[in-house]
Amino acid sequence: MQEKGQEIETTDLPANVTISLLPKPTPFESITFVTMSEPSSEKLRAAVHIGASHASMIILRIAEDGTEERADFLEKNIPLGRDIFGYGKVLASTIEQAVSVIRGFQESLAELGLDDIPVRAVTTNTLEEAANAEVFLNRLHIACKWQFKSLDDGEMTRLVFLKARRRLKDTPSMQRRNTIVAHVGPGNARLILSKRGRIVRYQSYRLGTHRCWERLQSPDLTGEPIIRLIREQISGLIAQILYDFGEEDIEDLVMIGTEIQMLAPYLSKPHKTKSRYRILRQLTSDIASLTEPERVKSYNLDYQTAGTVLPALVINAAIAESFGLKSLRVSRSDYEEGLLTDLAHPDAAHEELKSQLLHSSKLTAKKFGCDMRHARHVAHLSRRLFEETRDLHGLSDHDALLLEVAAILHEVGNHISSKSHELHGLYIIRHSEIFGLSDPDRLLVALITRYHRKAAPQLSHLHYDKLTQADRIRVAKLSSILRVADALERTHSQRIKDFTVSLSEGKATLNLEGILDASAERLALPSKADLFQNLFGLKLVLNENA
Amino acid sequence: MKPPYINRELSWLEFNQRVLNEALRSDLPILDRVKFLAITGSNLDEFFQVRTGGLHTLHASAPTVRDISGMDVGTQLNAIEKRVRRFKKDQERLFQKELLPSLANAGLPLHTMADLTPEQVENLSHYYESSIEPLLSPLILTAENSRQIIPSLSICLALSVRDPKTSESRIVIVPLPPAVPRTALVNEGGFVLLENLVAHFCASLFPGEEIKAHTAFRLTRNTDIPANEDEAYDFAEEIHQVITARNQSFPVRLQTSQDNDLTKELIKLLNLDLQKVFLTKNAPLALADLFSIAMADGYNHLRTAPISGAESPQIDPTRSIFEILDQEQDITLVHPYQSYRPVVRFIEEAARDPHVLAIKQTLYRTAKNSQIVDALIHAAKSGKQVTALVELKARFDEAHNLDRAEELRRAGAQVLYGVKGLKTHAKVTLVIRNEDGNLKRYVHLGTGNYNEMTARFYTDISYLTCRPEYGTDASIFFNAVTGRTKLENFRVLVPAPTQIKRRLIGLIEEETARALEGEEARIMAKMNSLQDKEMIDALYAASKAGVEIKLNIRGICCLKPGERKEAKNIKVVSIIDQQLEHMRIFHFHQGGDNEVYISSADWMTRNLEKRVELMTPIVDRASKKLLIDILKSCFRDNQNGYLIQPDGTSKRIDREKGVARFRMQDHLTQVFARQAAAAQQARSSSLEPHLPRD
Repeated sequence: MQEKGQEIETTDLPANVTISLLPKPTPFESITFVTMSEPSSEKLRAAVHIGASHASMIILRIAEDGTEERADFLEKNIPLGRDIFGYGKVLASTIEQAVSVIRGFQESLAELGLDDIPVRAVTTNTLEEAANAEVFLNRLHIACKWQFKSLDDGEMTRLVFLKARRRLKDTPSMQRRNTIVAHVGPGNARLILSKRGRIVRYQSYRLGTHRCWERLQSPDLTGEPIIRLIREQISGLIAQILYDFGEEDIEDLVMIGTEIQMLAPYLSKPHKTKSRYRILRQLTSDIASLTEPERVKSYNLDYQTAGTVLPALVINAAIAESFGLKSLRVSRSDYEEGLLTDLAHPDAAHEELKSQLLHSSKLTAKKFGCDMRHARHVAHLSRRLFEETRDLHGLSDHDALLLEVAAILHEVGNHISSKSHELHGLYIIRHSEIFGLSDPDRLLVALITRYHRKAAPQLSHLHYDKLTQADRIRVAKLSSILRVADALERTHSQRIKDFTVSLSEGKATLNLEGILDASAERLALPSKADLFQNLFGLKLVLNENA
Repeated sequence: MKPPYINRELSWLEFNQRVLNEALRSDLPILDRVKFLAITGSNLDEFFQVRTGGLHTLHASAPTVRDISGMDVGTQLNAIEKRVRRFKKDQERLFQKELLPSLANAGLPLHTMADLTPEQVENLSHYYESSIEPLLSPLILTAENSRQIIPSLSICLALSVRDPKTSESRIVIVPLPPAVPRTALVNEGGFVLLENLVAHFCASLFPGEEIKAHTAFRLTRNTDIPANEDEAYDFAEEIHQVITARNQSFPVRLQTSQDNDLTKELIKLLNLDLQKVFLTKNAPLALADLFSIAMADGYNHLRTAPISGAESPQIDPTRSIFEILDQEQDITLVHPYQSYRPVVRFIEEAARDPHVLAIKQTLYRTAKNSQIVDALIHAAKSGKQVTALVELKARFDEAHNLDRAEELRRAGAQVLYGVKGLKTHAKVTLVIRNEDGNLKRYVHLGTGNYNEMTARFYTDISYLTCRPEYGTDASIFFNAVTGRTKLENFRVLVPAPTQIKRRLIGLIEEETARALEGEEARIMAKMNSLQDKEMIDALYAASKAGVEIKLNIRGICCLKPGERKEAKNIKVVSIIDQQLEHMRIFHFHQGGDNEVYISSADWMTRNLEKRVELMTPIVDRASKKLLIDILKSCFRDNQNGYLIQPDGTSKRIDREKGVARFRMQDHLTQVFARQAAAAQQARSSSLEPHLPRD
């Protein structure tokens, strides 16, 4: 239960109050770096990742043109995946192991005189499934001073996208084809479908190497029986994949993930990425017939991956099989190193990701039968109003992007019923895979659309009540803009092309372009401009004589 | 069918035979010959301590284990004994019949006490009384105390002493004091051996008693004692204990100078199997001590002059090594033909350079009073981050390494005593400099130890570079040995035990595949030893496919050459000359891409699987060409080269008619001397004035 006092503070804002807002950390904008002091060198950055089987750190030298070069790379085994999926928590011994590994990383930074460069410290998002995730993170914070954040699904998607993009760029033929990039991680698998170089579909499944392996409790089996056992275990999810993507004409498959990339040398010729399903299947059988120590020796694996390598192979083979593909591609680079490079270099492909996010939002809107011309136009008007009122709201570029996405999606709820469609929209967005949107951002988008009509935000509202104060204000401000934009597109005819905003005492005037009579919009305004007027303490006036 | 491999012990004994063959060469200066004989002696000592020691241990636990050639442990021990007896006979004959007369002719006679004039004896008695007798400590030998009182590898006198009053006899042993030189100078020229001198005068130790018989003897004990790495709380302490344990471990060889009843009694008291007893009447015990004669001052005319390393034309002595590397990127040095000084300078300059943040280095066997260790100590004291991996398990250098490690530690360096379970044999130094906020890394990678003394007569490669990918990999290497990362994720360097073997086998297989497709395929490799079965099998498969394989292997070669299909394209050459062949260079034709590597690792299972090693690809064109030329020259030697035979023995390569004499070591000496002279000339013809600063 929230206290009453807070409600007044946040939802019923007195007029003319400006609130300074903390920019929220976002995947591709204001990455928070853990810094001990001011950076001594602009050119060096580090990223640390505690994954399901390894902890690793990269030190990158970033040139002025944005190209990066690896200055150092460290990696140690930590059995986090085993703990999380085997015991449901991180064992005390593993926590201490992680502390000592991270301290080692810090020592080597210090040796290079780099103890003050920006370090991005993250953990696998599967950590969230550990009962004592917070204890683990807190212990690391106390012992090592670094505040590790769990890599959320959205960020993971960004990273997978960057990998996929690299592959697409390296192989121009893939640009033209319908390509699936399948990332099989420790807890989840992610499938990205791209057509003509654009991502059109994104889906994740609770289908992971460690999740699968620990569920089987390392059975004492080898050869085909163990392969069969794994296949039986994953068959439900594979059927789901087939259901989700079955109608697409998949021409190419790119596999990424720690285990499969470790095995790349055994799947394709030197310096090549192309392999065949037959070879993948053969390798699966070969590895299944070996004990773990034999796998370590024969395939240059470490003991951490010697177990999970088999489910990785079986899952990848099953995916390839469900698309009926004879050939496939496996990236030859080191998975972990690529991941860290992208983590340490957060600005990479920013614009491209933004455009992919807008694209996938439109695909979602289309899927739910939205009037796309209306959706696009409301997005346009929202963006314009955001720009014109920057001095009023003080929000960031990332907020503008969230607003645009929310505007595109604001009518998805109509798919269920136009009655209370703002509530249906909330549900649909919260449960849709929208490529490039992190979990927290997806909730914000869902809430912005939820408030595009009817009730203004209130602390008693589900989901809204769980937000931080800063996020509540962001949602309120962004919905207030969306509401106005939607009112301007009341006629669904895109007749208001553009406008400017002029501010005078107690009044914000929208000078509309290309319209002689805005009566319909003016009629719509009272029910939609209320939130704007409350938040910013300004009366909204329409003026068509611009 | 007999397995197509040669037993490694027998192969090693054949190597020692090749060294002995040098001592047999009448065309060499006499002190060179003495030196080679001394080397065979010291080699054999180590062989007994480690190899037969290990085999005896294995014999007790698993006698039926067979080696790759199909021999069980007992068979190997018998074969070794037989071969060593023949070898010893050769050594004795050489010493007695050839070297002794030649030494006498050259003014360095080795006398027996009986040869000397009364005046000479009188003089020696003064020396004995003043400098030797006070150091002698006779001990009564019993069956129970032999383990404690007979040190390994020391020459002792055994005396049968009789008390005339009681008529009772006892065996007394007198270890020769280690601080006294093995040879004593005789007036008017020549030497006597210390044991003969002591035997002559030692009656004074037993007043009123009678010495019935005496013999000199030398006991060799097993040193193959592994350190307990898992349970050792303090690894340095554990190594101290191993060193002590060696002096009390079981005997593997007894050498005696006399064949008398006393000797028999000694054998009985020591409870020794006759297989371990070697009577050496016609040559001194501990032939390794002949080094002191071979190196005697004032006789330079009786030995080959050592090579004075030429300056590398790339290295301008007036500029800093870092500056030169910034410009040249790669420098390859071939020691001892080229001076080792730049390597020492590299570390000394790093120690002084204010921009240097850190120096990291592996140390395996360092020189006494090592300038390199001094530089590291200086660097640590001046606040640089110094990491030294001092391998405490470097056999026979443990005590020395412990001392240096402690010194480094006191200076503030981070010292690592190697890594658990593996010996760190890689030779790498990393210097990290901060150049205007940029990290720049300079790396030295070598095939030999950081030892400026042995660098004068071991042939080795030094590769210095500032290529960033080599620097990053060197960084990963040191982070791996300090336990902060895995020995993986290297871009260019190839580490063992994780990758070298796989990579080498991959490279051999690629040549095989090319040969099978009818392409030209060639491998040239130079190393100290080839013993790993999988490597040999890969070479056989390559030979069978038609790959031309030339191997230059100094020591052990378990590969069996011959006319068999799987071996007929393999040629194995061994070179024994003044400088100890020590560099490891591998070349793979790769369809004309010519991949070249240098390495600290031999193709032995221990190097590839039980040690931390590095293999360095050389991409710099000039360096690559130089290394390929060196390899080619190995197979042209018709003066000091041997061809390994199918039975593991070796046959000297004779110069074919019409072919000029070619001695690889001479050739390289000249090549580098000429280069240095040309560079010197170029430098002195273009003068560079010192200009006043603006």
